[in-house]
Amino acid sequence: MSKVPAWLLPIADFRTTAVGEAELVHVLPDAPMLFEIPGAPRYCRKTLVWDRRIVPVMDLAVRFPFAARDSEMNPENSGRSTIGIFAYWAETAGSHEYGALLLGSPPRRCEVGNGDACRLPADWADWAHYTSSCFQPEGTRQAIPILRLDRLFSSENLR
Amino acid sequence: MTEANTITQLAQSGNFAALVLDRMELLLPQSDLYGLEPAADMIPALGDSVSIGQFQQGDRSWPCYALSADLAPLPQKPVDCRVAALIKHDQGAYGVLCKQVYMIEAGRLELRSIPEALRTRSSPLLALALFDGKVLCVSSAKVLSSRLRSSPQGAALS
Repeated sequence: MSKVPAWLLPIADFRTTAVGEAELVHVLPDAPMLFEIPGAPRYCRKTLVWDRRIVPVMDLAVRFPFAARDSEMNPENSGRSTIGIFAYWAETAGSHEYGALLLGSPPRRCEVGNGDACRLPADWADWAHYTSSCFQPEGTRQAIPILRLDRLFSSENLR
Repeated sequence: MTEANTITQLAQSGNFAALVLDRMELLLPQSDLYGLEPAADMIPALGDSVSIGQFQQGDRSWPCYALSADLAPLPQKPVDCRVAALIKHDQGAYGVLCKQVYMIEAGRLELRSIPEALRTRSSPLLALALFDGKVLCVSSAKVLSSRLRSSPQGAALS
């Protein structure tokens, strides 16, 4: 069965998501200069300049607060300094757009096939609208949702 | 107003004043500025308990505010604010304490729409701008006044 490459994105110690290979365009390992935007959502208050673009930087650990066993981590002080920049097709704009995510560590490559598909676990329910599917890497019991970047970076706060 | 119209109007509004605040720089069309005053000339506020001081000009006085990085009024004067930007208002002007104020020619700014993920209904911004490798926030006297009015502490502007 054929597999396709993807990137695993560690969001926090216990949570990993994924995107397609072509969606990750740049990883910034050193903390870049971030610019705060007044009135922006709490989970996306900062931007950075990349390739002469203003790119929003989103913290998924703040947007989807983690419960129970990983609540001892304070996502806002977790020392995450890796930032990934992603490209996605924005239907409303009719163009490719870019967004950045705070990551717990640099992305890792993996291969995903249809046979790895699994259901989105109940404790990821808040993410359902923002994921296209979920998979379990071979030999593991970890469920990894694949992100819908267009929905994550959309202007839903205007609804 | 569409985003493209907003950007076009801003680009045609002439030069901008950059107000250096806490952790951000706010751009206003220079035509929205009434003047600049040294922060040291600020006198105590009159009764309204929202502004942190006032400026007297002849027989008129203008309330003065300090703003957080979220453009909400602060209860006291930050230690490193040395200048007040007096901003035009329906009933005259009001002041905003800044670390620094400088002017930028319109042609040196690259105006950009606010990325979708950053937008909210109550945003005090009209656009963003690239300048000298930095992201600056663009607003106007009208939008900033509305923001101050709608804040829990903003009654003095109404």
